[in-house]
Formats: sequence, structure tokens, C-alpha cells
Amino acid sequence: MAANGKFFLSVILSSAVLTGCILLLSSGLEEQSLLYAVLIFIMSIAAMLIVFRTNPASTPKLEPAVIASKKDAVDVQAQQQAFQELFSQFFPLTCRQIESARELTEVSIRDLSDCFASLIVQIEQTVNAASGESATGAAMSSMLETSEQSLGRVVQNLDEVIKANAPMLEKVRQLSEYIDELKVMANEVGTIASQTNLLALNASIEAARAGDAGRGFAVVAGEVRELSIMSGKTGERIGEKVSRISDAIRTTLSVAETGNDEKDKLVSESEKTIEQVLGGIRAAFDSMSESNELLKQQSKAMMTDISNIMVDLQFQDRTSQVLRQVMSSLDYMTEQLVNASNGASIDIDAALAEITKGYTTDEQRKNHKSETAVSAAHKTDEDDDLVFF
Amino acid sequence: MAKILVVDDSDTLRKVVCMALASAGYEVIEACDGKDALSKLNGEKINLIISDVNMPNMDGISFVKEVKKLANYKFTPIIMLTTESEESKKMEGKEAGAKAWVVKPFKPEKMLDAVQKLVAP
Repeated sequence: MAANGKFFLSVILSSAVLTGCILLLSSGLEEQSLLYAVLIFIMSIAAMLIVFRTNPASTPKLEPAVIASKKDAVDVQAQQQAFQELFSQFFPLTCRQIESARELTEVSIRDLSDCFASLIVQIEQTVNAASGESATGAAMSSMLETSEQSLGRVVQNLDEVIKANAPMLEKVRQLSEYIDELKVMANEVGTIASQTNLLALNASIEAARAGDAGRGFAVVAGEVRELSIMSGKTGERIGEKVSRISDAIRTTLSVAETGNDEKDKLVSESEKTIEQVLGGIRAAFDSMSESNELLKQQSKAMMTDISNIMVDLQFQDRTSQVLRQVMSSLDYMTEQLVNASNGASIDIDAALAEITKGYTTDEQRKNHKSETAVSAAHKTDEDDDLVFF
Repeated sequence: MAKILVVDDSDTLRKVVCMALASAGYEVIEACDGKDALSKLNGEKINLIISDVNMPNMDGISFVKEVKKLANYKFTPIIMLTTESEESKKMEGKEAGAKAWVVKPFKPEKMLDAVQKLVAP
């Protein structure tokens, strides 16, 4: 600005000096014209002196206008050089910074993806293991039911065995009753023997009264008496044996009946114990199955979450493409500006068209048109993101 | 087991796609661009290809055109997986020989749905 001002001032002053000289030469001897010409000339000289005083470095031998224009040319060249320096250093530097940030994001997201991929594999293994355990649990539950049925049958068989003893005991009871009858019969044998003995005694008396004629009869009577005594003794022995057998049978019956009651109790207790044990095992299985189911549900929920995260991680690719395009645009603009600083003209439309070629997303195109870009993060399922040809 | 070639210059994207496919029982081979993918096709029996569009060295559309020139892979289905959603780009993919166009970011189940319609695990 200062250079241009001095240039114009120099031009005005030079013109004024020249006008003063012409008026001085053409004035002749007229007093008024001469006076005006002298005044203009003096003022011009004074003005030139003031100008040259304010610019002591200027060469007095050169014309002031030439000096000013040369200075301006030097300034513009310096500015061009400065701009070229700026383009060739600033934009590549910016590109390097963007690339560095892009690479950093890419590496971080890649590591994150690796971590999530590994997590998904681990969760899948857990779910598979849980499913396997669930199958094992189902098999064990089925085995438990079979065991329950088998043990139930064993208890039932034992019960039946005990019940099968009842008819036998009944028979023993009946036997005991027969023995009582045998006792009566043994007593009756004793009574018959006693009466036979008495009868034989009477027969002996009658035989003695008959004398010799009754001697033979007396022998028979004696023999009958002997037989009655023997019968009486046999009846007694039978009675004794029957009593012993009766005692033995009663004792056996009592022992058998007591044993049967105890067996009933034992079977009943066994049944309860088996039910308790199987119930405990069933409760443990149910609890394990519930935990397993919960684990599977939670694992599936986690897998869904991670799957959604993986969708979000894909934005790194999108961001990376946008940043690459920005760097490419900066490179292109650097080239264009350097060319322009060397005198070439810039075709703005062509430059924008060139930049557009690098767009790969809708956001970039909408941003280019100064529209509000809809982020792909807000895409809905209705969006046309899958097309079959 | 069906074999799928995944072509993408983004490690993250390849990881996400591979994880979704592996969980569905597919065998996966990875390539970082079209050129790398063409070299991987030699000696492998690939049942399906999933390819990005914007990649260095060889872009996705050029890669699809090259694949369609190969006798062994002329009829192999190709899914384009890209950030591009412009109709003109989709048409380019269709004309090159792609069977489907999926826009990133994608939900893994949606991608699997598209894959399963073209090839069983």
C-alpha cells in the first residue's frame, strides 16, 4: 500500500513540475500568468523536496515512479514465494497429520475387532459347552427317571415278597389249630386207654370168678389191660410231642409275624429314603439346568451386543475413505495453487469436478452440495442396502 | 463346506465379514485388493466371492470383469460390499457381472442372508 501511494504521489508531483515549467515558458511577460507559473513551480519543488526527505534511501538520480514500481514487483515476487512455500509445506504437513490419525484409528479399530472376534469365539464355545451340558443333563434326567422307576419296582417286589409270606403264616396258624385238635385226640386216646384198662380189670375179676373156665379169659383180660396201659402211655407221649410241636409252631409263628412287621417298616423306610435321595438329585439337576439356561441366554445376548459393535466398527472403513479423499483433495489443491502462483489460471469448476471423482459415500456427495449429510450410522432397515441383480 | 473369497483393503471389514461367515460354517480366504484376489483364485475352488469396490492396485469392478474372463470362475456368484450406494455404481457392478450389492456398514445376519441365497454352507 505504501509503495503504491508513493508511486501515485510521485506521478502527481512529476506532472505538477512539468505543468509549472510549461506555464513558465508559455506565460510571456504578463504579470498574473508569470506569478501563477512561479507559484506552481515553487509548490511543486517544495512538494518534491518533502517526498524525497521522507524517502532518504531512494536514489536521487532515478525517477521516483520507476523506483516505486520496482519495489512493488519485488514485494509481489516475495509474496508468491511465500505462498509457494506455504502450499508445498503446509498441505503435505496437514496430509501427514491426517494420515497419521487415520492409521492410528485403523490400527486401534483392527485391534478392537480382533478382541471382539476372539470374544465371540469364546462365547460360542461357552454356549456350545452349555448346550452339551444341557444334553448331558437331559440324559441324566432321563436316567434319573429310569432309576426312580427301577427302584420303585424293587420296593414293590420286596413288598410283594413280604405279602407272599402271609398265606404261609396263615397255613402255620391253621397247623397250630390242628395241633390243638391233636392234643384233644391224644387226651381222648388216654381216656380210652384208661377206660379199656378199667374194662380189662373188670374182665379179670369176672374171669377169676368163673374159675378154671375163665382162666383163658383172664389171660386175654390181662393182655388187654397191658395194651390199655401201653395205649395210655402212647397217648401221653403223643400229648407231650404235640405240646412241644405246638410250642415250636407258636414260637415260629410269633417270630415270623414280628419279622414281617419289621420288614414292612424297613421297606417303607427304604421307599422314603429312595424318594428323598432321588428328590435331592432331581432338585440339583433342575438347579443346574436353570443355571445352564441362564448362561446360554446371557451368552446369546452378549453375542448380539458384540455383533452390533462389529457393525459400528465398520465405520472406521468409511471414515478412512473420507480421510483419504480429503488428503487426495489437499494434494490436488497444492498442485493447483503452485501452478496458479506461477501464473496459470485456476478453473474452479474443473477442480471441484476432479475432487468429486474421489467420493465414495453419500455423505461426501451431500456435503459437497452443502446439504446436510445423513450419517450412515442413522441408517434404518428400510434403507436399500441390499440389492440382488 | 463352501469356500468364500473375501476381498477388501480394510482389515477391520475383512475381519467382520470373515467372522460372520465362519460362524455360519463357511470356509473363508482373504485378499487385500483385486490383484491379490486374482492370485488367490489360482488352485483354489471358490464357491462365492465378496468384494469391495474402492481398493488400491485393482478396484472391485475391474476385478469382477477379470474374474468373468476366467473359465473356472465365469459362473461363480459375486457380491459387491461397498460404501457406494449410487445407482450408477450399482449399474456398473451389475454390468460387470456381480449378483448382489451390499452397502457398508452391514448387519452380519443381512450379509449371511444374501450369501445363503447364493450358496449353501
